[in-house]
Amino acid sequence: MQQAKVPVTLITGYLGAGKTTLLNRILTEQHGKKYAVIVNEFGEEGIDNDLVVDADEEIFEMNNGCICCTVRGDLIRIISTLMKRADDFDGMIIETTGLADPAPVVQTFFVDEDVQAKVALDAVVTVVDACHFLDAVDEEHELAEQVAFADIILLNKTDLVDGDKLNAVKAKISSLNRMAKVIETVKSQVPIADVLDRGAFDLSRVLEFEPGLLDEEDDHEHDENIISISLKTDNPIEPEKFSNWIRGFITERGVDVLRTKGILNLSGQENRYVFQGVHMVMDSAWGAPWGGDARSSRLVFIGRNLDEAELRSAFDGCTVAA
Amino acid sequence: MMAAAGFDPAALGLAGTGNPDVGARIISPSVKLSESPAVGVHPTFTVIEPAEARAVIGYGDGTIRALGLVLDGAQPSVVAQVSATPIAAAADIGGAGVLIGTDGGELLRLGGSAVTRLAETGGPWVGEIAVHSGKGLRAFAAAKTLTVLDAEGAVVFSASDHPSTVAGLTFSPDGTRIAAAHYDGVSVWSLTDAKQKPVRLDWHGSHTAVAWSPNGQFIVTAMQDKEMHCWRWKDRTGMRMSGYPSKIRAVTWTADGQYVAASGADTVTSWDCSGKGPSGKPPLEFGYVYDGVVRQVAAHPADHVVAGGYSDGTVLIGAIEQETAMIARPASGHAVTGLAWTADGATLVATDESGAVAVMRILEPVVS
Ligand SMILES: [Zn+2]
Ligand SMILES: [Zn+2]
Repeated sequence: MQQAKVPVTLITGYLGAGKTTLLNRILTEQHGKKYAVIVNEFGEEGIDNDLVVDADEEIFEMNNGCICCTVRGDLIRIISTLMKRADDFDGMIIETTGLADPAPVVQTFFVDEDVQAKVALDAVVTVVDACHFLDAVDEEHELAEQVAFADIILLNKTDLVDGDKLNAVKAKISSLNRMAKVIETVKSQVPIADVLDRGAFDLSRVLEFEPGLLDEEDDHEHDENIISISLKTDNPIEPEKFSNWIRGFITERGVDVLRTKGILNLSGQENRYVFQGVHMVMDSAWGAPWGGDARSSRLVFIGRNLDEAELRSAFDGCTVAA
Repeated sequence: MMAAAGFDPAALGLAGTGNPDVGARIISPSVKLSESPAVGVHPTFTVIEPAEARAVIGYGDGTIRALGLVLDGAQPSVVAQVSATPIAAAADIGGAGVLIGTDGGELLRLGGSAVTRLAETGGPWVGEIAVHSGKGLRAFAAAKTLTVLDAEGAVVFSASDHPSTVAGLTFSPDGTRIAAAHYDGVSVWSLTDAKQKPVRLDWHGSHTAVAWSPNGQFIVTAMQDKEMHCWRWKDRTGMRMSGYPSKIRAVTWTADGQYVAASGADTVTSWDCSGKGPSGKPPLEFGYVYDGVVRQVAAHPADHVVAGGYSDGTVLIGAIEQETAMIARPASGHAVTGLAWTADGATLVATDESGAVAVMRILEPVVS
């Protein structure tokens, strides 16, 4: 008897960006549905929900000595306990502090067995304050990481900036994260369907993702800042070559690679091969058959110290023709 | 100083699908099983209360239910309702009453069907409880704070100097110390000299359970990292027991302290701690179950015998040295959440995620 896993939405963003407003909007508009809300700090704005659990942000490194392999010990305890309650939750929402690194939260859903068995991370929603983003993003690395980890970016307070500034903010966001969906909002007003039930980590839905390909030639050679790189090839991929390369790359560079997503056209295979990863944690599956669709492979990396030219040549080296 | 005890299930052919030839000899059943219907709520603790000859079980809906240790297949009856989720429990001093910790920050005591409040944290969950009957002490942990109460309920010791939430508590067998498991190790506090600094047993990672061997010689922890760590108390030498395919949820010592058994593999694994400890010795194993992983273990109160509860609901009782097991309860399809022996070792109680309770009476001794 396989029970549907309870979806968990992670809301990140800087203090004052509008996270709590979004949270309360979800809770009031989804009236009649039951949510467990996990927060790290009680903001000035109250949260309108029956069940609000205070988390204490305990980040635990795993014992493999790798600094990117971290989980949130408090979330493991809280989620395991919530799932034993008699209540049938329609979902859980985790709101992190403005300064929180999303990686340990995200990895908890892929690393801990008890959490994995009962709930599934649905999407990372990052609320960005259009007004202050450009000033803050270079100062505070957490802000860039929150944007880099996002599946959905709520570009909020757009009424407070002019067109030029808005475009500059959007360009910066897209350099950080080329696969997130950016939604421009005022006062976090967004159709709830755009932030809930996105299945962003659901491999069966990876196909819906369309990386935004920037036409610019690579202008960030081995950039220490977070960037996103998308690669595409029409040549079929040789499975063994690809698997050797990606494993080695992720083992060696997992600390720098924040998120990965890919749809591959493996040689001789009728189905798409889809995968996604968070740091060193990787998840893959067979996707829908290609049928008559044009076959091509697409890959997106988001991370720091990434060299686009190097990645492109390594990826091209995995094709049958190479 | 660190020695790997060298348990590698893959090398033994036990990882993944497993090897049915290893530790799979099932001896003929000599257990009478009585099964109560499912409650439909997830149990959160399973404790035997000797004074009332009953099993007391906490549930995720806040009900506390009890079941007499007779084989009549009755459903456990609700004896109390608490306002938050009961998340930790232990039989109270002398085996009379049950202490219950909740995610509402309360330490409660169930006596008969009456619930009284012994302590309140004002927020943090009471997630760990330990009792030392001989010294008449009760300990509980909430967030980073450990508190010890005497039989009257007065605070006799308190410590907050832990690097993370305390995730495991155990008294030394003589009741003069208490050990708290947390991130990066264990803190062992003296209860006789409040000025003494704690002894820190360090090992990087998150320690989620701790148990002091009944002979006082070893302290063992279960870790988030799918391994165990064991320290020899005398000289603090640490030993690492790794290679488990899944998270270790439970560790248990045999009454004489010779073996420590753990969940986390597809067999019940028991480490021989006689002599210098488990270093260099592979664990003894019994009870391979197809498609099941051991979730709970509970050592028999006298013999070198351990009960194992599996992810498919199977309960096995096995003899450690013979590496043989008998099926005490067949698979129910719901993971075992708790196991508890009566003090005489004649009855075993198991609960599973459906809320069902199995009472098993041992008709013949497991080891001759
Ligand atoms: Zn790592
Ligand atoms: Zn960071």
